[in-house]
Amino acid sequence: MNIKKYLLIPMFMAVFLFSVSAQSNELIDQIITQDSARLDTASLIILQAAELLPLDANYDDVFDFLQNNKNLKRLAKKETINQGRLSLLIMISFDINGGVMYCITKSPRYAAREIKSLGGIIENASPYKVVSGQEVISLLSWALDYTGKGDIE
Amino acid sequence: MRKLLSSVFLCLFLLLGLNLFADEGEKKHKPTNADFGFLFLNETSYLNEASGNGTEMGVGLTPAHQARQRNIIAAWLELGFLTNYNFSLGGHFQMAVNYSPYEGKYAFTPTGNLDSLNFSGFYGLNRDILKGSSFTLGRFYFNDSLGGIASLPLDGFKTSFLFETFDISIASGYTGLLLGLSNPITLSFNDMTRKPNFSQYLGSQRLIGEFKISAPDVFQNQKLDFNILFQKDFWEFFTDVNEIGSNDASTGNGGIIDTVYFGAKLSGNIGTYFSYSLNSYLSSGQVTSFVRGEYIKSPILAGLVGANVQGYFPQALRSRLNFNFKYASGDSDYNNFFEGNTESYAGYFMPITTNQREMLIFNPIVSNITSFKLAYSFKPLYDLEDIHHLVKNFTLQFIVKSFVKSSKGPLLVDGIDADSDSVYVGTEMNFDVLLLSLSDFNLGFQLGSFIPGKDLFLETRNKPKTQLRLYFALQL
Repeated sequence: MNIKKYLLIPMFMAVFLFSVSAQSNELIDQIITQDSARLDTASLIILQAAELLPLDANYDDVFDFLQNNKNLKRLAKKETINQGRLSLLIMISFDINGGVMYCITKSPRYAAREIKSLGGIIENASPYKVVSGQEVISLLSWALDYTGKGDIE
Repeated sequence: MRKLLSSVFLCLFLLLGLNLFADEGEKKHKPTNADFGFLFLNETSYLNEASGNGTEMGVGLTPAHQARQRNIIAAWLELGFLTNYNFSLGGHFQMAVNYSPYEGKYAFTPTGNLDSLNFSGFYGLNRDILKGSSFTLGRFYFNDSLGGIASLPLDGFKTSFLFETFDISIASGYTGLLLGLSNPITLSFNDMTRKPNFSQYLGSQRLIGEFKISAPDVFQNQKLDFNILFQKDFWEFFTDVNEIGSNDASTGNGGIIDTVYFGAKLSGNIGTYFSYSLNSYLSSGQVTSFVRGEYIKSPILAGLVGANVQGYFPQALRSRLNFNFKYASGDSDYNNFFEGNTESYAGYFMPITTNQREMLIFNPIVSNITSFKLAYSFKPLYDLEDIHHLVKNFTLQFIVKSFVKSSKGPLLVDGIDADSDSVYVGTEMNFDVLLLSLSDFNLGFQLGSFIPGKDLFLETRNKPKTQLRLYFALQL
């Protein structure tokens, strides 16, 4: 149900903001206003939250990281992030295991399916769906919660 | 025909192949929210009965000494557009192959259905009182909100409204356009026989509807649901039925049954490890019955009561313990399972559909039966270190379920001695091994044994039955 998403986003936002408080508020402010999230901004926030890039990393570091990762290389030249790319980025950044088809293909389609089966995506798991900045933050918050990386020590 | 089918499948696989690795380029048009997929399911089973010739078959008991294979291919497509709207299309085809060693014969049974063909929309309103609403028009899959008595595709509509403290939903649809071979409705003689006319190719001629109100947090995370479910029989417009007032009981026709179900369900958690649900249905309506030498409309007064308690202990090898009790009323004066009332009220609780197979061998219609089930499962490999994630969900499960008749009236089960007064029906034990359980692939096997009540079943049919079932399911 899409309706539930509107109720869950504030909750996810609270968890997320709590757990990545060290991350640049400016970057979060920037992505939240994006109706169609940019891939570079989303990747920077996700890779920092997964502690794969330092907090002072910039967009060039993001490009290098994507370019050097065999499963994320395909994203390096994209401008916008859709549900499939976002799911793939989350799955690989947080080292989330997938099913048989995800293991074989490492494709955005099966990454989105996997996250839906784990409860991160509530509605249609179409990999082509355009995602907003708020949806990026919402899914990132889910990943932090799911992997326990958002736990406050 | 074969070429056409081959071409269609080839195109679908090509499309799928393109989509498997899909990461489309920056399209000039706005990307749509589109997706499609497939499900392949195969199950192979062998049933062995210590005695019996396996020539007769009831609904609840699969025929004896039989090898069976079931292959299902299902496909679905979803197209989202204008943010809030969705078009959905889905269907399945099943080919069942039965082999009887005694007769040395193979029997092929193809079935299939269009499971969904609908247009839906949703609105998040975020107003003070009404938080959102949604609608669906077309063919959609319907499950009664309390669970267990109706599960089938309907042609109609459903709509829901989400308020701050409760939800309301309304659904209604016709079942007469479903394909007959996969008709899941077993309310009456007409549903079971679908006499030879055009309606043999179509499902039961019935209108089904539901009004539901649900309070997700009525007190301390306890959920309360109420619903009113009805079904109206339209068989009289499609086939000959027993006329009210007629005293000819030899026509071989069936009668009419209209039912209304008033349901309530309370569910929630008990402490940290346990959850529960209590549900009940009071059934009313009318059914054609042959009483004192003529057909009349008997009023129905029947009920279903269910209780379920589940414990989950993650620290003890992810163990789950489940106890389930279900009582569906019967009526001692019935002389036949369908429309068999002979006096005053008709007391058989009749669920609308009976397509749920909970146990491996014995799954009677939930009518005139009381059952007790105990199940325990655990995942011995889940917490082991250095174990590959693909086998982490390896699960072992044990289930024991016993059945007794709720009244001395008849059951729709093959091999029962009609003159027996015994109410103990039997006990089934299942041992399930889930080898692989992933989001898109399941592989496992089940071993089951049903021990019939010696006094209730005929001497030739009261020996234990065992069945082995192997299965896998893959979603693409």
